[in-house]
Amino acid sequence: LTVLFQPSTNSIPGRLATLVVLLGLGAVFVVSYWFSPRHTDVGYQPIQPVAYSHKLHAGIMGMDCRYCHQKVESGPHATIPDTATCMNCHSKVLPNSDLLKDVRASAATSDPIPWVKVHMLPDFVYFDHSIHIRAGVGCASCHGRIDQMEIVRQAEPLSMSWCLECHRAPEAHLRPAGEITNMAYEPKLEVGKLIKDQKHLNPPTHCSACHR
Amino acid sequence: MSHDHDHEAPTQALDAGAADNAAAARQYFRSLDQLADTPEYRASAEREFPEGASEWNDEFSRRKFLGLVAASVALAGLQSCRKPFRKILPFAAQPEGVTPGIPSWYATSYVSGGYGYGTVVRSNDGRPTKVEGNKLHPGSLGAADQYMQADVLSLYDPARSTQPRHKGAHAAEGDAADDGGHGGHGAPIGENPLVAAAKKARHDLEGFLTPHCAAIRAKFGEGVRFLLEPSTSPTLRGLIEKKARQVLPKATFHYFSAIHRQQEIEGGKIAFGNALDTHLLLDNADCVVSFRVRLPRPRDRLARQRAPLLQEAQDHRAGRQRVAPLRRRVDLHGHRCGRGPRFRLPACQVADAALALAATLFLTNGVAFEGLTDELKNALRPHLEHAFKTKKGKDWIAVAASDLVANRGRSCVVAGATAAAGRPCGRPCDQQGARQPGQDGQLPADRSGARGRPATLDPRARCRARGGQGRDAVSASARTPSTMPGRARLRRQARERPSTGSTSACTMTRPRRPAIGTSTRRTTSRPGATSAPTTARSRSSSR
Repeated sequence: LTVLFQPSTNSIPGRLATLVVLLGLGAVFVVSYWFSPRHTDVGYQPIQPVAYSHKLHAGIMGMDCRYCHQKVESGPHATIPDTATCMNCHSKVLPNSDLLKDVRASAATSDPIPWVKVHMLPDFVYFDHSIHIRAGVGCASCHGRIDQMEIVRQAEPLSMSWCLECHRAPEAHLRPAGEITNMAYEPKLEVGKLIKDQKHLNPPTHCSACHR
Repeated sequence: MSHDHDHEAPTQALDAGAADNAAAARQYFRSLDQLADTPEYRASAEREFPEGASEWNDEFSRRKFLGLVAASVALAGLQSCRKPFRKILPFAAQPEGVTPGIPSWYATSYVSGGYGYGTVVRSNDGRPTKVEGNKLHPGSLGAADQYMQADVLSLYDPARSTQPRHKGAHAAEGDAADDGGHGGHGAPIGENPLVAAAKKARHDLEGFLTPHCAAIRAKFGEGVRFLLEPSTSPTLRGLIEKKARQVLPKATFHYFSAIHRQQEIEGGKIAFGNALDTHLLLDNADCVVSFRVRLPRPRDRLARQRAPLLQEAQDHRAGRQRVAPLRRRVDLHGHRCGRGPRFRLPACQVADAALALAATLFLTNGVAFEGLTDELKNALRPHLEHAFKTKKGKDWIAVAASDLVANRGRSCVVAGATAAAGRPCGRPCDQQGARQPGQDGQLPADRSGARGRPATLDPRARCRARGGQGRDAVSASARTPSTMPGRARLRRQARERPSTGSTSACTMTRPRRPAIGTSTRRTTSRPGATSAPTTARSRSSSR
């Protein structure tokens, strides 16, 4: 009579169980790391139709964000500037540059420049720039050091947990009103606490705050 | 593959069937081809598949093809793993005062029946979404009725024409499609393509009209018809009267509007001897009885206070106001009317109820007025024995009558458009002959069952259901008033006038501005379909 199952087969269920557990943990890790916005969204850096450099304009030349993103303080959108804003300067500065060919064409034909959206929120999320600016959240807190980017890339995950992190404890990210567009400003906890008290900030964390 | 069908074949088959036994006659055929039984048909019927269908003659092997299909299906899901690619298209030149994401409100007007009503329209990033009344406009006083509210849909109506059409097609349609949004071919750079298209459309229209114009003029416009909406525009009136009629005296002008106030105007004629707009000063009224009118209409004075409205008036007058709307459906007003009873009726019986109320007032309660002749009394007498025998119905008539009497001089009866008394209200009823007097007005659902017919087939039940959305329901009475400049003054005068004056304290009238086409407008109502006599007489009773 031959033995069908050797004694070593006794360990198979245990090994299988270990394997399943390890695979499960591996899957959880893979999904939580590589499938999260921290990995999929951060670093998104599409090529824009016009080679506009934030590094040059906002960083080296020190233009304020709001020169172009005019409605950021008054409306929900930061607003990409119209072509006329570009032409304010570029009708005099580099008026014949090859880089600005598309801008001039847009100004002439009234066709918009098709900028590629970098920071994308899902359609089921409501976000208002103006309220965050009024509260004292700086541009750099969400968009990173735009003034150092040749081509704009997404610096933060813009995920729900990331939003809630700040909504639960905003102190660490608040800055005085004068420093909102200052990219180099490092938020300080004591200052943030003071601002939170002064402005009576109580950021909502209920669902319908953003999913309305 | 088609054959010439032998037209004799079916007849022959029938003859053969008649001659043979019954079994042979029951031989059915699936097609005329089968019946004709040609050799071509036989050849094709004996094959399972058409020729060439079962062979694979391509270079690809069947196996390879299926493999490719399977791979495509399996990989199709991967498409969703791509990050969406979105664009932001800012203005080339930002208009002033526009903040993306913040709605703007535009003051504009809504035209109906020739009158313009001031509205404010909310526009979200260029897309109009909501119409409200303009508080600064005397016509709407901030209120908007259902037609104004619904008017926003007309802006998205795909059938709405934005350009002149010729034989149903946009004149500039083909070119606009070619443009692809890059400005018209002939348009200078920077010109808005829509403007360019409109210019081209106008040019095309002129091109079409010019050759015809001489011929039309030569015949003084004979055979030319203009279809217009009723309008109070002096400019348009001037154009038609001073220009078009001079040049084309034989041309015909037709005026039509789907929503009209003809019945209300006719009612005003009967009540006041003239075509008038009525403006109710509801805050002067202690008792209001309405027949198929949702009060206050936007032009009535209480329209100023909107939501708490009649409640407020009640509190202010220590509960003396009683509103007794007689409407077919539950409505906000009915709910608002506090202790005033509400009585629901099918549309075709509202006029009966009005007559019953009039009979109760003039005969039972002995209300008298100048025009109350014996003839009129006799005419009303049959209505004393009205059809509303349920407790609710009797109560309503009695309560409304006694309230009107008690608040004499401070009461108001308003009637919307409805079927005149003695006339059937709708097609299903027409077929039935007439409404059946002597039965109660409540139309309990089980009565139709008692007659042995399913409830849904009860013509009056259908009539009732239809009336909710039908023409009768959108009566001629729910419109806001015109933009008459002297209106405020008139209103002031009416307020100062003693309530025993020639009109009721609660009703202010003013000369109706002659609307172009009022006389020639063809109404969609049935002849005589107005309850205006009831309105006038009941109203007179409150003097």
